Amino acid sequence: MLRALSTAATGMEAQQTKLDVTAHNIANVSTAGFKKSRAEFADLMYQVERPAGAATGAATAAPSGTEVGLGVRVAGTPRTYTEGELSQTGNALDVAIQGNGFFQITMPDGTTAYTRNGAFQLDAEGKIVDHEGHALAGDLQVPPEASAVTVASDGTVTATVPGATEPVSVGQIQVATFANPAGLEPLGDTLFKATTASGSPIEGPPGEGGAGSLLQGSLELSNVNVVEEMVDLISGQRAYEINTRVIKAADDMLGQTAQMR
Amino acid sequence: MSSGIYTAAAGAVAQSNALDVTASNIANATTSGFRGARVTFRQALATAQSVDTALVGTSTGAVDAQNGAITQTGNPLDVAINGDGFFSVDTTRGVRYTRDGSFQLGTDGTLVTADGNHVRGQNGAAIAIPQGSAQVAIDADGTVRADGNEVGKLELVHLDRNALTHDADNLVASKKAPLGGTPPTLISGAIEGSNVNVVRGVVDLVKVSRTYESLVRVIEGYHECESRAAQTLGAPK
Repeated sequence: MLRALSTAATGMEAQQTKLDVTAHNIANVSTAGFKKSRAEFADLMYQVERPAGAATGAATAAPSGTEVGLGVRVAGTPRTYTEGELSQTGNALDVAIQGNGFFQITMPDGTTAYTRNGAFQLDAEGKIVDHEGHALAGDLQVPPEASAVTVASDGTVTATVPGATEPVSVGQIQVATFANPAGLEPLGDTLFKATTASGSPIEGPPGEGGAGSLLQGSLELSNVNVVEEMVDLISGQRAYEINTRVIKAADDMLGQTAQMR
Repeated sequence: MSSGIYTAAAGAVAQSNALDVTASNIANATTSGFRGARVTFRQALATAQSVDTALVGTSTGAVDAQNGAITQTGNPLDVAINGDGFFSVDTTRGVRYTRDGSFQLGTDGTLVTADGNHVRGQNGAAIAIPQGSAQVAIDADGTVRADGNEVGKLELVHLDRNALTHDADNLVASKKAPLGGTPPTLISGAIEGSNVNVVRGVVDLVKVSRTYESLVRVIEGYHECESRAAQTLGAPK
């Protein structure tokens, strides 16, 4: 009976984690480039009181044993890398990746971080940076006198400069793809870091080798589906509630035992 | 001393076992690929003493084989089995089977479960995804492709339901070798949920706790009889 108490407690703890994950998803429902997570569970060990196949007679064996499971644990919170909705913003430096791949951002410490958030801006020197001021890899410097910036679907960035007949080439945005994006480590700010589980990044021009092409003037929104999250919220809450019912039932039974005359 | 009190006590112990199993099922109501256990009671020692002495034992009958609901996730490495069958996994304890197809890429570049156990390919080979692959996909027949090239095929097996035992971490062990037959087909980008029916779980809870209560009353009844007997017959004149 005391096993049921702790088993139900593990169930409640797991559902709390599910609620935390769902809350984080819902909180980021309008974060551009955000990828939702889900809580994955696994059952805990089993206490075997009578193994299956134990002899029950001279020539007979139990077809099934008595195995009592001891609860559940959180096995992981993998992210889902489905594409978010595209939103037309008309902003020249808003770029979305249609398909696989990540933008590469050079962090202040020189390492590379990866993101699907294509809301770029220009800094004081004309460099293309993300909303935190981290430079987009590739050393893309837009001339200060440029009147317009164009990002082609293959990542080529050109600037229109008054007086010049031909657009000035600024550089090319490269994207990185991963064999297992679910293995990337989140750094916050919709940035991710490569890990051994994600595999090493394969850098290349957009639209080639499985990488998606770029779309200027659009932003990829969060891939959180509010309806799904609400369903998860309700199912998590109910599962939590039913685990408390188990605790109540175990407590009632213990109470009856304690009060036995 | 009447032996009926032991029968009632054995029944109460069996009911508390049943509560533990129900608690485990409910705790795993949202665990991918989880198979709930069913409690069956059996008469024990029916002929050991006299005909009126029948103790009760429990067993957690065969793993409930119904399939759980399938949820689309869109992750290329998530696969659900359509119908009967299991994935094979190599663990330190030996070959185990699972219905939880939420696979990932391990640190060594092979396909692994959430706990890092290798997913078995044909003839038990690990499925290695070459470094630098941009896209991994799993076909309906279990063929794993990296950038369109076949790199392995998941070992999909049918198992004798009555030979299955639970083995933690979403795995089951089988006492018998896998059965033959056509391997099951897969649904990619989806995972299978738990097959625990929460409504049935709550009904079981009510049933168990009421049965337990009645058995406690029976024990109390025996106790009362005996103390009455002691008072009436045993009191010194």
